[in-house]
Amino acid sequence: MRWNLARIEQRTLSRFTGIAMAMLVAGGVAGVVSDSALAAGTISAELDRTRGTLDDAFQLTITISGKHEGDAPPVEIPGAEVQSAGVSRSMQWVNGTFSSEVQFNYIVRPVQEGRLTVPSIRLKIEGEELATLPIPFDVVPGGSTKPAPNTGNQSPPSPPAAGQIPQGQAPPQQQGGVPNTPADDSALAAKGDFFIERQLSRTRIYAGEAVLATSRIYFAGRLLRANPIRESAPEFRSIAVPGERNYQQIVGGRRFSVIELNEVVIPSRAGELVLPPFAINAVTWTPVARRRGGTGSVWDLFSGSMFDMGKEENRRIASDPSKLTVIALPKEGRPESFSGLVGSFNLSASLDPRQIKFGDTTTLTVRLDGSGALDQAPDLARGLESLGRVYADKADLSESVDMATPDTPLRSTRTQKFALIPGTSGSITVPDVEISVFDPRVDKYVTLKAAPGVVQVEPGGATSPQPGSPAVPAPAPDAVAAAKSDLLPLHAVASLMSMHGMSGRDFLRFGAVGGVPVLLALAAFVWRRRREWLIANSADERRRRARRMLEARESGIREAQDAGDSARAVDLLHASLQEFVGDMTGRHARALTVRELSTEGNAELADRLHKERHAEWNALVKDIDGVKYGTGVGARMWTELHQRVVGISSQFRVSP
Amino acid sequence: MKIFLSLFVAFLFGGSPLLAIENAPGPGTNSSADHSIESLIDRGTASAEKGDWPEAIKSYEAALAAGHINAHLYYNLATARFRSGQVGQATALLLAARELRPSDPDIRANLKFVHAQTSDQLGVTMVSDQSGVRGTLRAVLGSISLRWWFFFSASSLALAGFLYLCMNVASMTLSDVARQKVAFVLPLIRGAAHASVALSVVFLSCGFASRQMVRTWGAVTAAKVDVFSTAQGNDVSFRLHEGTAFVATSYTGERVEILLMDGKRGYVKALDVRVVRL
Repeated sequence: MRWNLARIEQRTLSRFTGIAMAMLVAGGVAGVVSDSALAAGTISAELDRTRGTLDDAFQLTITISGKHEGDAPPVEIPGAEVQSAGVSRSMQWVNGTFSSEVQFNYIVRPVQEGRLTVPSIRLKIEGEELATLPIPFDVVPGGSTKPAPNTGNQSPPSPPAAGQIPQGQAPPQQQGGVPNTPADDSALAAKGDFFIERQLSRTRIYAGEAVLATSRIYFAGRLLRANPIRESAPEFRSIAVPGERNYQQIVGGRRFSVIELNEVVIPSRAGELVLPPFAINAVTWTPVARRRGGTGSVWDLFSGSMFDMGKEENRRIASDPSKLTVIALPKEGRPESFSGLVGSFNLSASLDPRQIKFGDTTTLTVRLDGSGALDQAPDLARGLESLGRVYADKADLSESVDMATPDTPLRSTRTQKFALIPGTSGSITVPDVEISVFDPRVDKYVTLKAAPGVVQVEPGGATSPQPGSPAVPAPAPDAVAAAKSDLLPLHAVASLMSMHGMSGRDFLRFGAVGGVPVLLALAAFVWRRRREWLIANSADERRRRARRMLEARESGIREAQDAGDSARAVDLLHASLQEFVGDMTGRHARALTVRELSTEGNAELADRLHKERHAEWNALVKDIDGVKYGTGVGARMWTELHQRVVGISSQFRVSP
Repeated sequence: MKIFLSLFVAFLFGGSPLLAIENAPGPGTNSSADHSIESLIDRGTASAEKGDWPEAIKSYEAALAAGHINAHLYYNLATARFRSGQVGQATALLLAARELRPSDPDIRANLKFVHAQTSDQLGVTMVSDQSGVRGTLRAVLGSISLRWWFFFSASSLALAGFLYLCMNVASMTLSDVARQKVAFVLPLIRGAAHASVALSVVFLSCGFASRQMVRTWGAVTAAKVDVFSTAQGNDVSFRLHEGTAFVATSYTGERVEILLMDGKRGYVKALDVRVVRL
C-alpha cells in the first residue's frame, strides 16, 4: 500500500512538473511575442500650437512608443531656444500586449519672428532608425495674437448645440472664467501630480440665478478609479451636467490628463457664499522608475517584485472652495404677485379644442420656458374656477444645460395642463394667464402674460364621458332628490340573513361535511386490509419457522446417514417434510397423509406462483413415501431425496 | 339482500354527513346567525321601510361591523346612504355588493344609477376586466360566490367518501358470489369516486382563486379630494370628486393607494374615501 502511494505521488509529481513546464514554455512563447511587439517602436513630435508670439513659450513633446532607454534626444531649432522640461514614462499591459511610452518634454522660446520649424528628429530604436516629421510654426511680435489657453495642438471637440449635453461629449472652454495663463500654469503645476481646479462662469449673480461650475481633474499619473464627493450646501441647489470631457493639457511643462465635469449651481439666498470644494476619492497608480543596467529584455520588468512596477494609492483630491457674491433681488418695483422666479422666460397658453359641447372638456395648456430655474414655479391656473370645473394635471418640468451660454446655462420648460369643463354654454373667454418674474438680463421685474383665448360651448352637451376626464357636470341637489325614486326597492330581510363570506368556523364545517365520509371510507379500507395484512404476516411467520425446522433436521439426517441408519434418516426426512408442510399450513404435522402433503404443498406452491413445480413436489412426496415403506425407490436414494427436499423447500419463499 | 344491507350500512355512516349539508351552514342560509345580527337587520330594514334612513344606516352598519358579509345587506345600506345624499358611500357599498354578487341585476342597476349621479364619470368597471384572459377568468370565477365554491368542493368530497365507503363495506360484507354479481358496478363506482375527488379539488381551487381575485372597492366620499403621486409627499397629481369609484390596492399610513378604472394610480387620504373590505 505504501508502495502504491509512493507511486501515485510520483505520478502526480511528474504530471505537475509536466504542466509547469508547459506553462513555462507557453509563457516563454508569450514573452517572445510580447518582446517582438515591443520592438515595433514609433516616434512622434507634437507642438502645443503652431502660432504664437515672441513672448510665448511653446511646448514640444516627443513621444516614443517602444523600448528606449537613452536620454532625451537633442533638439535644435533655428531661431528658438530649446530647454528640456522633463520626461514621463508609462507602461501598459493590454490584452496580453505590453507597450511602453516615453515622452520627452521641451520648452521652446522663440527668439525671432517668422516661420520657424522644429526639425525632423531621428532616433535609432531597436536597431531601426525612425524620424519625426518637421513641424513649422509661426512667431509674430508680442501682443499681436491672443493665445488660446493651453489647449494643445490637439483640437478640442466642437462645442455642442444648445440642449442636453450628450454622454461623453464635452463642453468647450469657458469664456469669462479664470483663464489658465502661464503664471497660472506654474501655480497649478506646483500642486503636484493630481489636483482639481474649479472655475465658475460668473462670480457675481442674483439669488435664484444659475451659474456654471466647471471642475477639472488633472492627473499626471494613472487614475484608476475616482468617485466624486458631493458636499451638500443648503444655500445651493446644483444640477449635474451629464457627460464629461477628457483631454490632455501641458501645465508647467508637464503633460496632464484632464477630466472636465460641469454642474449648474443656483444659490437660494443673497450674501457672500462659499461653494464647497469639489472633491473626489481617487485611486491612483504611480509608476516606479525601472532600474537601469538591465539586459534590455522585457523580462527585466519581472526580475524583481511585481510591486516594483508601481504603487496604488488612495487619495482625496479637492478643489479650492469657490466664493460667490450673491445679490439680493431689488425691492423696488417688485410686484405683489412676484412668483419668486429669476430668469428670462416666455409664457404661452393655448386651448384645445376651442369648440365643445356643454359638459365636454377643453384642455388649457400653459407653457413657461426660458433660461433659469422653474422648479419653484407656482400653479398658473388662477381664477379659472369661475368658469366651471377645473382639474389640474401634474406640471411637467424639464431642465437642460446649454453649454454655449455659460452665463445663463440652465434652460427650463414647465408645461401644465388643465381640464376645463365650462359651467355655462356660449362664448367663454378664458382669463389671461400671468406671472411676475425677475429678469437679470434687464435687472428688473417683468410680468409675463398669455391669453388662452375663447372657447365656444354649445348647449345640450354630450353625456358620454371621455376616459380619464370628467364630462358630466355635478348634479344639482334637487336632481339627486328627484332621482332617488329611481332606485330599485330594498331587498327582503330573508336574503340579508345569509352569509357570503367564509369564516373559520365555516371552513371547519365544510371540511367536516366533506371529510367525514372520506375518513369513514379510509377507516373501512384500513379495517378490510388489516385482516389480509395480519393473515399475510402470520403465514410468513409460519414459513420462516418451517424453514428453520427443516434446517435443524438436516444435521440429524446427516448424522443418521453417517451412522448408516438409513431407516432413521428416511424417517427424519419424512418427518421434516411433514413438519415443514404442517408449519406452513398451520396443521398438525404428524397427521398429514401423503395425499394431504401433496395437496397442501401444491396449494402453497400455487400461492407462491410455482405451479410448474407441482409435479416435482408430488413425485418427491411419493418417493419419500416409497422409500419409507419400501414400495418404490430404494434406501440408497435417500441422499438424493434429501437434496430434493432441500431444493424444493427453497421454493417456499418467505418474507425476509 | 346482502347488497341492500351493505349499501344501507354505508349510507348510514357516509351519507348522513352528505345529507347534513342541506341543513348545515350552506350558501343559502346561515343557521349560525345570532340573534343580535338578525335583530339589527330586522331593525334596519324596518327603519328603511319607514324612511328613517339614519336609523337604517346605523343598524346596517352595526351588522356589517359584526362581521356579517352579505351582498343584499350592502345593497340595502347603499340605498339608505344614497337616500341620505351620500353618493360616495352608496357607490362604495354597491361596488362591494357587486363584488359579492356580480350577476345580481338589482345591484347592477342601482350601481349604474348611482354612478350616473357622480361628476367624474370614470366608470365602475376596471378596463382590465372588460376583456382578456384575466377579465374572463374573473367573470367565470365571480359568477358564483366563494361560499358556493366551497360548498361544491365539500359536497364532491363527501360524495367521493360515500362511494369509497360503499366499495369497502361491500367488499367486506358481500360473499364471493354476490361480489361477482356486482362486479360490473364496482369499476363505475370507483371511477365516480375518483372523479368526485378531482372535482372537489377543482372547486376548492376555484374558491381560492375567486378569493384571491376579490377586489377591495372604494369610492370618494368627500366633495373633492387631492390625489397625491406618492404616499408621503404633497405632490398632487389630479383631483377627484364624490362618488368616483376605485380599487384600493394598499394602505400607507393615513393614505390609501387607489387604482382608478382607467388604470391611473395615486394616493388619497383615507378620511376622504370609503373603502369596503370583503
